[in-house]
Amino acid sequence: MVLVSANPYGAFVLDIRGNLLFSISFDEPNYKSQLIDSLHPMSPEKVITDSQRIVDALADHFKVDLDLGNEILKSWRLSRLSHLKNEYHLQIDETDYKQKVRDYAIALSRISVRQHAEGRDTLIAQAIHAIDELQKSFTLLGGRLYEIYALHFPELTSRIQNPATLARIILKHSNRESFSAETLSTFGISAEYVQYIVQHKDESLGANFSVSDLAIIEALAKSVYDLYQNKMQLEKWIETVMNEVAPNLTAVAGANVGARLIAHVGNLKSLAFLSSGKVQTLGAEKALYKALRFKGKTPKHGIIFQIPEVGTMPFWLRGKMARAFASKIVIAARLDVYGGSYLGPEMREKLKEKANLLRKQFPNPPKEASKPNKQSSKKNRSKRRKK
Amino acid sequence: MEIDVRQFKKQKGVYSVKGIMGVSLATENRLPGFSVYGERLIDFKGKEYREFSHKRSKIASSILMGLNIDALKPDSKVLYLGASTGTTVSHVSDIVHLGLIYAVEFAPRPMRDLLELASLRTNIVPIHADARHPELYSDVVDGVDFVYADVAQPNQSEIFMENVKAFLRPNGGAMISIKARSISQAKAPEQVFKEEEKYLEQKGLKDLKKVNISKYHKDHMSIYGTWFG
Ligand SMILES: C[S@@+](CC[C@H](N)C(=O)[O-])C[C@H]1O[C@@H](n2cnc3c(N)ncnc32)[C@H](O)[C@@H]1O
Repeated sequence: MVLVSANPYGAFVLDIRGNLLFSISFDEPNYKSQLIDSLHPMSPEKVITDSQRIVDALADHFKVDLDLGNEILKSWRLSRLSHLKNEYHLQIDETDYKQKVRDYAIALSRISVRQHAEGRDTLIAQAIHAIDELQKSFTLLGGRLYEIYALHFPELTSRIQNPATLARIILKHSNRESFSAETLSTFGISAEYVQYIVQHKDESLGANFSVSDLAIIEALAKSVYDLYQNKMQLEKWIETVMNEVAPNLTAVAGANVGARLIAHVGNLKSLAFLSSGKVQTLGAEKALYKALRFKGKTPKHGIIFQIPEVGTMPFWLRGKMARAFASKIVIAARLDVYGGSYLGPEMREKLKEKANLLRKQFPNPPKEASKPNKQSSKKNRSKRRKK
Repeated sequence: MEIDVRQFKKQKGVYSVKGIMGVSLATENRLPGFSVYGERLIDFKGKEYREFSHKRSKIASSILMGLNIDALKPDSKVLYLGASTGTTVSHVSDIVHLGLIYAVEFAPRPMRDLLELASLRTNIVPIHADARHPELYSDVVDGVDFVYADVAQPNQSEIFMENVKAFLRPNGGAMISIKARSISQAKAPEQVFKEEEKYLEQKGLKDLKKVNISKYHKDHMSIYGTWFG
């Protein structure tokens, strides 16, 4: 059995009494294989360490125990400098030691921060796709749940809008006879509807269902509700991770839109290197190709249309606003990629001001502009077909 | 009104500033001319001080509410869990100007700011790691005189004691700022504080001193204790 202690100077191998056997500096590019090669001749039945770094280096070759409580390792840890001086005969003072520790920690932290920022953005992209798929399934299965449950209690299903609410109600009490005003009001249903539903539970136009029929419906309701919860969890997760990975982009575009932009191009870096004109039409590619093919108006906005300050603009200003957002989004994404300062909130504030200003400056649509509508594009299409 | 700066009670390196804006705490700026997060700089008798706001920092409010942190001295080594962007860390760095502060933070975003701060202040050792796993930084951190935890996690006391056990020297001090609502939404804060206190005692922290800082940080309490190993 041997002990391995780790510190900024390297890996220190000790015998069970704590005598230093040998050490290998972490500055050696192949310190792992050196450490393994030096340990092999000793064929230790077990290696005990207090450091994950040593576990990572040795776990494939030896049986390694992680033990922060080991007294010898702890004594090395708690008074490291004196051990290094006395046993390793290191000729340094407190100031040198602090300097070494700091340099070591800063180098490791830099690598680690970079690693964590990379990769997680592609996870975000996957999560966005998962959210869309969950939403699709939720809508489909939710619709099915409505149809089935309407056979039993149509007076309820006609009064409930959201499949998630319907699912929760069914999970609480599936048989309409067990409904009560008290339980129904806990689902955020208006008093008027509650009264209507309770009134009809005994004289419903729906069919009576057996216990086993209801069990099947409950199972379906559970699936619907699980899908809904899953989606909510993912949305919450995206919010947190977006703030970590792309805080500036998140501040400017919001977590959802920011994540969708990333998902559309695959990762944050690709987004940061797009032109702002391209960012403006991300997610509107279909409309763009159509416009090019049929010589219609090119679309002014894609995903970023979902940003409230863009989407709620009157149509003659939407393009301007989308352009303003797109250019700031690119800047924000670059700041995030290169670890720049946190300017996002300020940029968003400025964009909001710009929106207010534009509204005041151009309260009416310009004369020559016409709202792009289906008719005009149809006209274009038929013209081309005739040719 | 004249400005007056003097040491705050027995807390070495922490000052009370009496002046135009009433009384506030401050630390001596060890990097004169630089304000870290927009805090006020105060000149007094040839030295520069940085306002150490009790509204922004739980350590500052704990000290202001009467807690004396014995283990926090100019030459102390400190392990700080949940460093965030380094607001409070920068003041601890002022206080332990002859010592060292190991600052642990796991979110990459605030860590970037912390790295920036550490590049300017030579007694800060930034560590990007999860405080739930001390084995991730046991190669960097050695014996410390003071452990402080402000991680706002449901099991923060457990994380705190793991680190105390691993790194605090015998007779060292340890302090945790407990956010009641991150532990339980359902229980009353007083109840949460009592349970956490009991847990710390069970795990071997002695001579506990408590200070309720809810006045400045909603539903927060700081507990300070001594560790005999
Ligand atoms: C309340 S803030 C700390 C504020 C800071 N102490 C100050 O006064 O300036 C809590 C911080 O702890 C960090 N944190 C939470 N859990 C953590 C963990 N397990 N390991 C490391 N850091 C953690 C969070 O990312 C957050 O930045």
